[in-house]
Amino acid sequence: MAKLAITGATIYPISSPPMAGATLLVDEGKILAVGRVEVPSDARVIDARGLHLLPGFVDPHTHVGLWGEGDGLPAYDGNEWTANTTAQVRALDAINPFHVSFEDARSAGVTTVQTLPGSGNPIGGEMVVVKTRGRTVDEMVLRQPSGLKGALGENPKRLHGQNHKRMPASRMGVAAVIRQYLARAREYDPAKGRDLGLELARRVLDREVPLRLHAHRADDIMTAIRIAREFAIDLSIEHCTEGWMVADALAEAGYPVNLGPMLGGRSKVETANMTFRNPGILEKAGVHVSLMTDHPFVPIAHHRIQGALAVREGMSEAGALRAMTLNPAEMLGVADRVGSLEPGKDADFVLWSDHPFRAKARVVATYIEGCVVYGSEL
Amino acid sequence: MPEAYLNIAAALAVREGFTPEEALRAVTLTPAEILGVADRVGAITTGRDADLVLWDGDPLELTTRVAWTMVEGRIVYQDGHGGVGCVDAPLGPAQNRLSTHPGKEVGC
Repeated sequence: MAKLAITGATIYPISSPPMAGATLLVDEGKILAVGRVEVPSDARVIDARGLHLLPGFVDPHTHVGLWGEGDGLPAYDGNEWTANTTAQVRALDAINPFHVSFEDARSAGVTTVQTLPGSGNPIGGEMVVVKTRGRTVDEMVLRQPSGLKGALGENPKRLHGQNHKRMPASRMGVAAVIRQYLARAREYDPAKGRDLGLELARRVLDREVPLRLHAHRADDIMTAIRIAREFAIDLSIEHCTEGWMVADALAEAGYPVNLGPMLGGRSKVETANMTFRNPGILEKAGVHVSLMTDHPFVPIAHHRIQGALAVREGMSEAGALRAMTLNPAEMLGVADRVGSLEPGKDADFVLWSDHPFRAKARVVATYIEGCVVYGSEL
Repeated sequence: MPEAYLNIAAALAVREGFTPEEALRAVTLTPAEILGVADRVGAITTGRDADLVLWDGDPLELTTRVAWTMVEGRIVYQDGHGGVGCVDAPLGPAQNRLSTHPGKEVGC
C-alpha cells in the first residue's frame, strides 16, 4: 500500500491545536506524521484544501449492529431479560456487521463504537469496542471485553419487578443484585466448575475491566459511585443525566462519565432533568466527559448535532470535540489506537466539508486504517 | 422530537436542499396556512399577532440561541432566565443585554 498524503485541510489532531493548511501522512493504515511535513515523492496526494480533517468520532455507548431498527423482534438482541444477572452474555455474539447502523455510523464520521447490551438487567453482560467496517465482528474488534454493563434505576425495576414479578422491584433491589454478584465473585473458585459470569466479575474486581453502570438520576449516580468504592473497582457512569446536579461530587469521585443521549424527549421519570447544559457544567467542574448517542435512541447521524448543542449550552468547542474523540478513546482503553491524529495511531479520519458543528457540514469521506469506508476518494 | 429542535430540523432541511427562505417559511407561514391561522400568525405584518423571536445569530445554525420569545407583545421567555409566561418587564436595547448577562436584570 502506497503512502497517502492528505494536504491543505484544516486539521484537528485533538491532542494538539488545530492547524490550517496542514498535511496528514499515512502509511500501512497508520498515521506517519501530521502537521507541516514534507510529502514523500512516492506518496499518493489528496488535495483537501477547504476541507476539515478530524479523527473519526468514537461513540462510546451504542447498540450499533445489535438492537435492530424497524426490523422487529427477529432482529432485536438488546436485552437478555430471562434473568436479572447475565454477565456471561457477550454483545460480541449478537453484532451483525451487515446491519444498516454500521453504514449510518460510517456516513456520520464515526469509526469506532462501543456496542453493549441494554439496560434491562442490573448486570447485563460484556461490552465490546469495534471499528465500524468489516464483514466479521472478529476482524472489527478493538477491545473485548471493554466493560461489564450494569444498570440502575427504572429499567431493571420495570423489566424484572413489574413485568416478570421477580427481583429487583425497587432501587434497593437493583443495588443488592449488583452487590451480591460482586460479592459472589470474591468467593468464586473455578476449580469447582467454571462460571462464565463470575469469571468476568473477577476481572472487574482485578480492575482489568471496568463496570459501566447506567445511571440517570443523581441518587443512582451516587449509588454507582458507592458500589465502585465498596469493591474498589473501575467505573464509568453511563448517561449521567442528572450529573450537573451533583457535579462537585462527580469531580471529587474522579470516575469518567459518558453523557447522552440528549437529543430527544424526556421519555422517563429519571430523565426529567435532561439538559444540554450538563456537558458544559461537568467540563467546568473538571469531570472526564464523553458524549454518546446510545444509537438507535439518538440516531448516530446526529452525534455531531449533540456536540454542537453542548457547545451552544456552554461547553467549549475544543472540549466537545475531545468528548467525541480522545476522551471516549481513553475511557474505553483504546487511546493507543484511536481518538486523535498522532503518529503511530490508526489512520481513522474524516474529511468534512465544514466544521462538523456547522449546520451545513457534510462528511466528504470517512477513512478507517487508511481506506475509504464512506464517500469517495478525492 | 422535542419542540426545541424545530430550528435544527429546518437547518438540516437546508443541508439537504431547501433554500434558507424555504426552510424558514416551512416553520412559520406554511404551517400557519395549513392550520388555518395565517390571519393571526406565521408572518410579521401589520395587524398580525406580535408573536416574535429574537435570535442571537442565524436560526438555521446549530449553535444559535433564542434571546427572547414574545407572544402577543409579552416576553414569555428570555435567555438565561428560564421562566415561562411571567416576565413582563420593559426591554432595553437587545445588543446591550446580549453583550452582558442575557436576561439577568429582568425579574420574574
